[in-house]
Amino acid sequence: MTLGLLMMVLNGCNHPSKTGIETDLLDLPFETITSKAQNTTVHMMMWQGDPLINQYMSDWVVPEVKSRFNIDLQIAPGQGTEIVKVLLSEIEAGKKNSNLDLCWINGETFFQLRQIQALFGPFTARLPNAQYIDFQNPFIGIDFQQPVDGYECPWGNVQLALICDSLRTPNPPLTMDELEKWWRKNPGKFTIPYEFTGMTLLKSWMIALAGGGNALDGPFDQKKYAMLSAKLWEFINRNKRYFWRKGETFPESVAAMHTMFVNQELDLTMSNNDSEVDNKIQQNIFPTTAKSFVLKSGTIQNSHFLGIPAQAANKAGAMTVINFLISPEAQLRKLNPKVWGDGSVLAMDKLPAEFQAQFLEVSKRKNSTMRATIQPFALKEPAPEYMVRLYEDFRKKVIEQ
Amino acid sequence: MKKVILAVLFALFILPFGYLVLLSVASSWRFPEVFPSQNLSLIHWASLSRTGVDWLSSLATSALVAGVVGCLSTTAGFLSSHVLSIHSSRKLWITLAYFPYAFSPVIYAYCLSFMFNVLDLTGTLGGVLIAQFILTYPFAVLFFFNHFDQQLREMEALARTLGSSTTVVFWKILLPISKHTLLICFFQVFLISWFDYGLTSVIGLGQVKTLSIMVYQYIGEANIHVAAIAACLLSFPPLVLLWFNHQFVFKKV
Amino acid sequence: MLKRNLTVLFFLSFAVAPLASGFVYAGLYSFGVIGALSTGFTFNHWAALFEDQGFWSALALSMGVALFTLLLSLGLSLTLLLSLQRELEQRVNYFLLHLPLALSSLVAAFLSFQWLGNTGMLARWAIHLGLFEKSQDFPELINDAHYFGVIFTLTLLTFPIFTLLLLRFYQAENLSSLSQVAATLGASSKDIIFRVQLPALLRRITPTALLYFVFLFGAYEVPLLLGRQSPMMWSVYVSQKFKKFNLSDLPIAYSSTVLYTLFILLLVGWFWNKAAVSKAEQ
Repeated sequence: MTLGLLMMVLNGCNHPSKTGIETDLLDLPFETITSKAQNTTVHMMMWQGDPLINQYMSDWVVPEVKSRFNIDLQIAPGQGTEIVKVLLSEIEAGKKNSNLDLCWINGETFFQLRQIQALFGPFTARLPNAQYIDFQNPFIGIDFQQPVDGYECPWGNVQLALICDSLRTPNPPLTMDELEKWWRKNPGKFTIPYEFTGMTLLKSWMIALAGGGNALDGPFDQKKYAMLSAKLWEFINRNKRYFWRKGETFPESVAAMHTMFVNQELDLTMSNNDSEVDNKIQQNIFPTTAKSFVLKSGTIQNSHFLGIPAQAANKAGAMTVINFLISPEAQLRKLNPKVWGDGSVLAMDKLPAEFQAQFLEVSKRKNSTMRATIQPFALKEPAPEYMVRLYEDFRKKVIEQ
Repeated sequence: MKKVILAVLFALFILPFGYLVLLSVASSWRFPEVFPSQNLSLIHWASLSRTGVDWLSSLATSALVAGVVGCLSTTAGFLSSHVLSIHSSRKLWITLAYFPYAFSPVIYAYCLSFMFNVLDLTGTLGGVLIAQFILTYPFAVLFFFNHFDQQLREMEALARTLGSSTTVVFWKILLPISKHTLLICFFQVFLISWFDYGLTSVIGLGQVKTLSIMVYQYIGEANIHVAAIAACLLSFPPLVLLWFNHQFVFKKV
Repeated sequence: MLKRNLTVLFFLSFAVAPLASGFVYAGLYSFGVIGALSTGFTFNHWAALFEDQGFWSALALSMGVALFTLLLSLGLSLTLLLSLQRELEQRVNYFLLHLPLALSSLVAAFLSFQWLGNTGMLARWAIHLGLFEKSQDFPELINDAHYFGVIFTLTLLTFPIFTLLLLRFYQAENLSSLSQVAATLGASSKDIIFRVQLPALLRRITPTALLYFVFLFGAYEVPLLLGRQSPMMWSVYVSQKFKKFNLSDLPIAYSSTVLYTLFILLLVGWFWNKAAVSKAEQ
């Protein structure tokens, strides 16, 4: 038996290649693709760390795609490398039909999936609703310095924001210097989540340390990274004794950080979604005095995307669902802070007139800073290797120190 | 003094269940409140009804997996142990059975995931069933090893000498005598399966949504009230089983 | 004969082959022989594992947590049994002793999180009673450097099982009568505990205790929720290696899996010898 398995291992290591059927699928008119998708199941894997996001999917998207296209959308939790690991294992096992048809990805995950040729495409040009997408916007058409080339479809656009309670912290720190002073005055009230939001903050700081703006544009630069990350670790390590738990351990999720913020264990929290404050006040989680702000040196703005695995069994279903998720209707609903508050990837001027007014109306915010106000402080994502390295080195150079 | 110790001990044991229920019906319970400030309500339980199908199917999935794995492993363990416990390599089988039993389920799952991918079993209910069977079957074999002792063997031999067929010996002697042990084994395997998170999450890829998977997801969302509901659903059925066992199985301590 | 061979075949297929094939696969992966990103046979991944400080601390931590929890649970359950044996045998109490069995590790960890955290129930009561002023003043009981929360939770899950087992052994060994005989013969109550009851109970529980050491060593859910990123327990360390961001870490994840397997083989082999010896002594 073991020997048999070994044989399979050795046979299974070939990379998947585009089959004839897939190429055909990309040549079909979209109506045919949608009709093929009827009566099928689409298995989606996505980050499920936020109740409102999960509700948007389970309470609205799932029933809508069921009633409109007769598609059963099944959602399982998983993000980043978990998705990469699943697809890599499948490739190694020579599995013909992936367990996943659709996944929520961006940046380093996209980069790694492209590395192992695990993504199907280019498919975005085939989606009728892609005509509304603002591909010209560098924050949407480019993912961590990589052209998306039709291998992933923009779904939402967000900017990292810090969050404070204006009662407790009327004058929040807006620069790295001010942060340093604030930490010393308020020991134990700040921390960095050891997940993508925290790493995104680190990237924003790294760009600030590099002089801001476009300093980290272009492909990964080992020398730059070594120099800047050394500065970054020095900055964090000289201050971490003023962090929560003296910087010896860090929360694993933003959700956990939010809970500590609400319980006043922390005075600052953060979110990769710039309208999170309104959404959390709406849910009666944050106090009504909570507000969001960005650093003067800027914070990262990025988009998140939807991808289809190369071996997905139901690509037609996945394309149909993606096309629905980027429809003005679905994007408008998602934009509403009461629903999710996720920035739209659609270009306002391309939208049908009846939607334009609605988008303007819904994008109004109460406690979150308006997108137009923070847009000048938006930083582009640096190349994905920075993220991969920061994850690793944050553990080695900060946590384990 | 003894009474005080017992009271403290059992309070410690009962408290978690009470707390879970209270947390699940508290509409809000923020620091530094020692009790929920607002009125208790079924708001979180009611929110389940919107996605009610998910919850019911999660409960059903957990019950199905634990029930099937419990039956299969108990039966297979019983039959295997009956043969292996008098096998000439008895000692070897025991040692071999201990390995998977002692293994951390989550690491075991990573070891299995390649084979399950090859066999197209990841992300499927069947895959989770088989994986949990693989985990619990050695446990069941071990469980019955000591059950088939000299006394039972002699009883079997006696019945055979008196002319009973293998079938009669099995159904009329072995099974009735082993009834309690079988039930206890089933109960334990059921619990291992019902509670499993590590193996199910890796092999099921989160697509097989047992209650444990749901609890973890809600903890991850910091959605504590809903996590408490899932924890209630996860904890009360075993409690009922325990009580049932206590009433009918563990009668004699 | 056929039935015997079929049974052996079934046992080998479901109890031995899965683990064995997983072990071989992990081994090949760790040496770079297989894997979509492998570049051929190499010792580099093993070297990287041994150079990783996180690995050694995971090993040491797992041993420490398992040992501490085991000793604490044994001590607690022996004390309970020897002082409250008669009370524990009462029907209601005996049932209550089973209650923790209805809590999964995950739920237990969640409860500890809710109770022991800086803004958890204990801290709230302490502040309410005026023992502390702010949540920061409350001692760190979870995600703490000493793994107190993890040990506490694992102990709470383990000691009731030990107590139940000891209760059964107490009856099986007929220790009540033995102790009475010893008392009649003039033994002091200290002698009865240390010369009659404890040796008999410890001998009976040793195999189970050793097995629990292995279980605790591989604990996952509890340290996942209540532990820290550094150091991590081994199961968490391995699963982080499988899940975290660097794809080139995957072979290292497999090498740590291989090492874990070898470690368990060693422990179980040793344990089996030990159990065989203790059985022979009986």
